[in-house]
Amino acid sequence: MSPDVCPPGASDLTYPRGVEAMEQVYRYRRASSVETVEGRPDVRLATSGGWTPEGLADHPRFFDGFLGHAEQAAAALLAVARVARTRFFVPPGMLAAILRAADPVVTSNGDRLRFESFSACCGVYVRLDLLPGALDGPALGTGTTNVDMNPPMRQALAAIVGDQALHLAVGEDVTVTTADAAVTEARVPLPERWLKGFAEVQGAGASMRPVLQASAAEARRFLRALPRGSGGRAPVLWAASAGNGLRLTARPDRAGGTVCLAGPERLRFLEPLLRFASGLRAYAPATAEPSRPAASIWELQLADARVSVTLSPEVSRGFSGEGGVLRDLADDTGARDADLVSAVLAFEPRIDVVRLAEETGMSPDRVLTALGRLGAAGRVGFDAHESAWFHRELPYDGAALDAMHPRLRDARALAGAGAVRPVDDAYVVRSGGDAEYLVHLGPAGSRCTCPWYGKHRGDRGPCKHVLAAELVRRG
Amino acid sequence: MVDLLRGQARHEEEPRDLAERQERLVRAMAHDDAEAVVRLLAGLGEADRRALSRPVLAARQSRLVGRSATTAALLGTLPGLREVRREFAWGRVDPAAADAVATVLRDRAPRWLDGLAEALAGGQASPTENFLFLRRLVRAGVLAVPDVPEYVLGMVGGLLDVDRAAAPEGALESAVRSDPGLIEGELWTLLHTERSGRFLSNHDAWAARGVEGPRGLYPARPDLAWLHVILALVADGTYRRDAVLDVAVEASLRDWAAVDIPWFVQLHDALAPTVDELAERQGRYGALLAAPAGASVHLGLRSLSTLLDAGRLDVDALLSGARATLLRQEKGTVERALRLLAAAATAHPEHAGAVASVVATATEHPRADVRELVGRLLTRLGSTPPDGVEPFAAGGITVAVHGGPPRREPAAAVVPVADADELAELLAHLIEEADDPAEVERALEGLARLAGHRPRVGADALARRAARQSASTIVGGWADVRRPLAIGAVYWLAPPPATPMPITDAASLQARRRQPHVMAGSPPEDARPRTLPAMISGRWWEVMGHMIKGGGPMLALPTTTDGRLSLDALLSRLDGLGPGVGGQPFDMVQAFLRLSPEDRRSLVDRIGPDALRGARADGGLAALATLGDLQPRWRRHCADSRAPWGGVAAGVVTWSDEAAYRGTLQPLSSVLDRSAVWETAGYEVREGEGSARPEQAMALWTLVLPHEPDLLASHAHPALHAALETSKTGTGPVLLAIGASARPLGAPSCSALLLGLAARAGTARAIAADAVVDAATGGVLDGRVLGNELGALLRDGHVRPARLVAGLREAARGAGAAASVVLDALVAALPEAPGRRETASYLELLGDLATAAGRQVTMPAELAAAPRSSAVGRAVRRIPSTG
Repeated sequence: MSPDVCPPGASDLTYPRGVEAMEQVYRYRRASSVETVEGRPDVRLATSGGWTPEGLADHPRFFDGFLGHAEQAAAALLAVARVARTRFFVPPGMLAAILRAADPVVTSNGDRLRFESFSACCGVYVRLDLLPGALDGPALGTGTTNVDMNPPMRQALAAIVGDQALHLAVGEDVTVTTADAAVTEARVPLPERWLKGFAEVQGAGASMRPVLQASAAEARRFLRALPRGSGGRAPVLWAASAGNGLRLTARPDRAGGTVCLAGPERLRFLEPLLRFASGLRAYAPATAEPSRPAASIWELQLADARVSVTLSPEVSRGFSGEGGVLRDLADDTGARDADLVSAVLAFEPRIDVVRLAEETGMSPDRVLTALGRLGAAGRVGFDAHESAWFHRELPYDGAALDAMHPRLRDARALAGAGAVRPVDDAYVVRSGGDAEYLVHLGPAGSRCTCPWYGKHRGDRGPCKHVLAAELVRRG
Repeated sequence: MVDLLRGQARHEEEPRDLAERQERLVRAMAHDDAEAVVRLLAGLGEADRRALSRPVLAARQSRLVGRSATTAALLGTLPGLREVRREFAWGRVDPAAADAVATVLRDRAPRWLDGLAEALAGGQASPTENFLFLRRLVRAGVLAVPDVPEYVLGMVGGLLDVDRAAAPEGALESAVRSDPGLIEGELWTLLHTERSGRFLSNHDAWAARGVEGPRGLYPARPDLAWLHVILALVADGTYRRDAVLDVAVEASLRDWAAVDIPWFVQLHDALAPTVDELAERQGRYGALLAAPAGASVHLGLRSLSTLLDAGRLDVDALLSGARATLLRQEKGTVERALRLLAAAATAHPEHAGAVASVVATATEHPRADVRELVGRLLTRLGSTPPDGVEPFAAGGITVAVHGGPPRREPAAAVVPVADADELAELLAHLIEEADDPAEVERALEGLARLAGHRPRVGADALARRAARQSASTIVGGWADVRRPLAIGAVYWLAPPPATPMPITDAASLQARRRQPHVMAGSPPEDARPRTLPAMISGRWWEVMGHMIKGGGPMLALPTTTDGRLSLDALLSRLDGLGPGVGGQPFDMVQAFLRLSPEDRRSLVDRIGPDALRGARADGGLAALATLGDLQPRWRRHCADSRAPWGGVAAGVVTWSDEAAYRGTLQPLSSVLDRSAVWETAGYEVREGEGSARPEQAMALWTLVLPHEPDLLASHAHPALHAALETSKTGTGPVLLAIGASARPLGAPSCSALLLGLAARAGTARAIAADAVVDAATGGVLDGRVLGNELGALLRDGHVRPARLVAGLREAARGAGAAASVVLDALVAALPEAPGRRETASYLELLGDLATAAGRQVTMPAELAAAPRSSAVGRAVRRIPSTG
């Protein structure tokens, strides 16, 4: 995708400089619906704008066939929709703000369908993977789009019972659409931090490794026993193995045998799915300091499907400010690598890094760095179960996503303005008028005396002063 | 109206210019002359309106304006929705202004009109506030019916514009019927709108029971309930009965929060559907069994049960959803579903096999009673649990009993800050998040020792930030550690105060309080005496005074992160003070408390009490010698205690030490005087309220008393009592410190652990379970002592036994040693178990643990005699017993 082209749904984005939200316009040919046809549930998901291998499409059509496990599929789709319209954390002072949910995103990777959504608080990401065994055949096409999940449709999904196959259409054939069908249009303001978090959450997944596994019965026991509400300042808890099950603990295992579970109530939306679960797997970052709060992935294993939930390190903390990719983004060679890698992607369900390295002539490490960069721009996702990236292009303005790194932008400005000067073993960075901050760069982690670093230390990526010092050191 | 008003305007002189128009507009607002406002705004262009918006806002802010005229003026001049949202964020818009506003908006036709309803209904104010106003704009044809849920939700509480207590009989129904379009439009939409259930339920609860209001008790008014209105509309045929019944059933099926379901279930039941009506919908009742909300499941079970009794049950409808019901946790719901399945199998023997297959789903239920019932049913149905169904033997504890103990991490060494740069960096972090008490101690020691040094760069920026932070309203109270740290940073980096003061000089204290950055601090006098906060505040003020006098080394910095101080380190520091240099009283006491009791005795032996008396700042420090030989005699109290603002904290458990130090020397009395703890307990219960970071303050407590877990527990009891009812008390660090103790835990510590297990917040209970696991694996927790306290808490009746039992189960799952301790405790407290609502679950846990441990329990006669068919009797039978 060239950076100056936006998908159709995003072509109406208004994103004036300095405004912290852009307006996403969803245009559906008709509302999504659930009907009963010949005794079977018939789910028709309307699509709004998106990418296909052939380019942009107003109403892409990805699938028309049968899904196994109707009740499970319906409940899983509802879970995805529920996350999109949930604010798991309400900051003090924000009382009754209206929540306008962004519609879920669906990606067809050919052999599987992936439904993604992101909570309004930017702290919970969920993805439903309908695996090849769930589909009665390959998809009609590949690509990414938004799908309409309107209230009547959710009501109809909630009423689906039984294990018979369910007919699913993602998009519809233009030729069978009645001529007088009106396009339904919804305008949803999407805050910058929401868009950025949705894109960046993939980077959190890329460093994860499986740590805990529980059987179906233990998964049910554990998830149902989770505290109902902990609030923004509640102590962060971890999950640990206890016999053949899991338990919550306040003491993380320094050897990495525990998984951070900040705001455990945020997993309770999975409850309606527990009756279908065959197991639960939890992932933690392989490289994070085990005693610090960290993002985690909770994967509920279903019949021919998986629901993966990525939780932010703290309830009050979204993914938008994690800054995990800032150093990669600061490296200009990475931009060229990312362009090269993106040119050979084709909505693969599992990106083969070795093949990409061969095709692009880059080392596998450089390919991985480029994929991380693409992830931050919303152009690839990460599947922790497969431990692999997959191709999908979020149907939002890619150029805008790329620009949403104010820390990096500020760091470049500081470095360019000569605000960084070396002193002995450190750097002094002048910023915000006459304020000066001392920056220590070191292999064990860089440090700064600024308020941002003081608050977050190394937990949320480097501050702009550290980035600026690194840019100056690099030259 | 516009034409009419313009007609009137022709008789008046048109304003000569915008300035005159502005003046007359403001005057019209002051006289609440809405008609004049309408006239003055009529026909204006957007540029003129924008120009007028500023004076209109200014006039509005003066509050000397009438409501209708102001509303019309604002909506006639504000440039966009952002400004409308801001101006109407909290206030109710008077419905009486609707006519004038309708005229103004019709004339203006602003581009943002479509968003007005969302701005007014979805702001910070309750949706109820502006319903009537918006509804009148809709009826005037200015607005289309708003497509935002908050609009119809606002109707629930906003349709009646009169004092409810004084409303005439049937006023709500009259209001509905008198508003054309409302019945087919907004009201019908309301019944299909998410979150309507909670609004309707809250409203009708008041109507049914009355409510305490600012002017006394509002009496019950069942005629003002929405349920009453809907039933009336059904009764006279305005609404079709079958359509309303469908609404009730389908709402229970929707993907809505559980809180939104009960009102619709109530509606369903109030309609009292006939068997025919139930039978028509039995597919949906079957689907309800798989719904997430318990109320939906109960509706499904009840309806299908009625159909079974009437011989009209479609067993397939029951089986389609029953598997999901049987995977729920609630014992009563699952038992009810099992009984319905059993009855269905009896009535329809041809389905026995399919029923058995579904019944087997509940084999994994956590409650032994349910598992036993499943076993009986399967036997009756001629079946056994199928392969692949995982049994839930011994409540999931079996394996944990044999699990190894978790690693206990040794405490890390505390290294003093190296220089002013490091101290600045440390303070920059701590004034934002004081999340590590050992780091706070490092900062305190660094401030005293490096008082005369400055960081290389950034001193001014840090001082400014610290000054802002110390004055911030977000950072508040003694219980927020960030504030004294910020004050410390200001003292360190800003120019020193003109008059250094001794810490004990009350006049100087008063003088210093007049300085803005000190106003935010809390001198020890502000803290309640004989509490750890008094000790901590005293130390902080002592360090501040020490800094002003030039600073110097302090004694009390712990050598390890758990708060302990080695004797060698203290001796070295005492040598460093030099002869004749007085130590600081709070610092000295704290240093002593951080020595182990053995080291305290050694120190006194080596330097002698006389040396203490002679060389240090306060002769009373000789009492420190007594710290080497503390022999507390703990006594438990459970009583009501006087609380702030005339309140009473009921049933606060406190621990007094009958051998406590009873002197008046503040550093010692703060920590050691536990002689009349009940006097201030009620106040201490409320201390943590309003603090943004109570857990950070209580983490400091753990470093005050690293060797006396019982004394620490005694101090923490009021906070633990508060945690029974509120989520925000920050007791976690204290519980973990008690659990990590290397010394045997006495009764106060055991009582603290149990209160933690019964806390309201699930996170606090998880931490308490950790502490029990730690203490048990560390070999310092005696199950019998724990059992005695468990019995006492059960006897007092101020904790929720269900939480206690669940907490003990979680602790038992944590490690084998913990399971063993919990078993001992349950056995010891067994005499207190009978006659309580949770006796059965208590006995189930006891049975699980005793079975896993292969241990026989002697049952009290009262329990042994429990009827065999009762839940208690069944639980007793499952316990391997000798009695």
